[in-house]
Amino acid sequence: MIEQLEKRTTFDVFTRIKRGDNLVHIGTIDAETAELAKVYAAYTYDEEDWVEMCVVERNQLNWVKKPKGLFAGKGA
Amino acid sequence: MDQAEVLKEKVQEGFMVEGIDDMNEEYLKALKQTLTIVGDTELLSVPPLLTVYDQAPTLNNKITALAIMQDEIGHAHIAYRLLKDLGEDTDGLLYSREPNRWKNPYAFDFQLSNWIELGVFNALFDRAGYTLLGDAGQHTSYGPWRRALVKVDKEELFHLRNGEIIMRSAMKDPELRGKVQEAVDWMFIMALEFFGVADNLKSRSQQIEYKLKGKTNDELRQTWLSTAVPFCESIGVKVPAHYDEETEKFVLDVPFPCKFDVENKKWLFDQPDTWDNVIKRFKARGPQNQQFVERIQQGAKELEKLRNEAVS
Repeated sequence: MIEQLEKRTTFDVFTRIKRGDNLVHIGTIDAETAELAKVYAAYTYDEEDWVEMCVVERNQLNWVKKPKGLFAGKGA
Repeated sequence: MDQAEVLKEKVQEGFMVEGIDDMNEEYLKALKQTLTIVGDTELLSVPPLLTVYDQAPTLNNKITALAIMQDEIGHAHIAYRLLKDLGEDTDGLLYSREPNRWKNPYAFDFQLSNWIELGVFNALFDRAGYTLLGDAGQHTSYGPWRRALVKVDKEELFHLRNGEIIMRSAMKDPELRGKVQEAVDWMFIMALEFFGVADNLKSRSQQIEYKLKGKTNDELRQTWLSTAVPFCESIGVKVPAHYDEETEKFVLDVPFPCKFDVENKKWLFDQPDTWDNVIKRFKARGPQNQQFVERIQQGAKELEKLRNEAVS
């Protein structure tokens, strides 16, 4: 519908609450650029005072292993 | 065993669904319906709050109200991004959907009359959200949703506490006491309707069989009553429900469901109603439905118009 939206890609958002914690996947953000993704992530996921937060463009993730689907290829 | 039986059995044993390959069509459909209701509810809670936020008595109250609205939009974002990952066209859902197709509760189709109602909205309606989503957070078989609900749970608790603070302080002011009671008189029963049709009228629930949620509608209504009633009583607000020692349950002192006078925002307790009629009322939507949805879609539509003009 909106031309600009078509150029958006999905970024996964990872955070660490405090030093020593695990880096955890907390959600996603759709953005036109990595810079905007950083801004959107900081505003959207403000439920903690994170010590660390990063965004990774989803198509940059290289999967080594994924859960085997219960109905792989035959389900919904 | 067919896919439905396999999946139902597995999720009841604690299997976590992580992706579409773990779902059958029925699960996917029920999950999408549930997430659409949740996303719409979170997002459409904002327009009614906006109708009175500028009546906030202090700057601090105003900042808190805005923070709550920002939270709600964040929660809506969670539901919609999960829907997007399930293949839904969320831009279409948000900006092209007709107002009467939105799935938010009927209670959110009303303008608020004053600041006190914003407090009661937080204390009673956010409590309903907290009850429903707390149950999903604890029980849902859909992994991505369960993880996302951690944030929602924390924030909804903050919203309902904010509502309690507003109600408690208003009850100490002789001029505002009446307003709290007036607000509770229409919003208490509205909140009870959030939980949907009575259990004995539902033959089966896919939401429960697939463990999208854990408790039944009536069980969740009891959970809500178990904190809403004692809170209201503790600050001197009258509610049409009490705890029954014998059955160890909260019981309502008025017919439920019953007819509602939309214009005067009053329950007609002398006119009991059926759930079929209530669902009809929900589907017909409340007075501000169109205006509120247009408010959400306005920016995107104006921007699109400007773009089209710039191009042509």
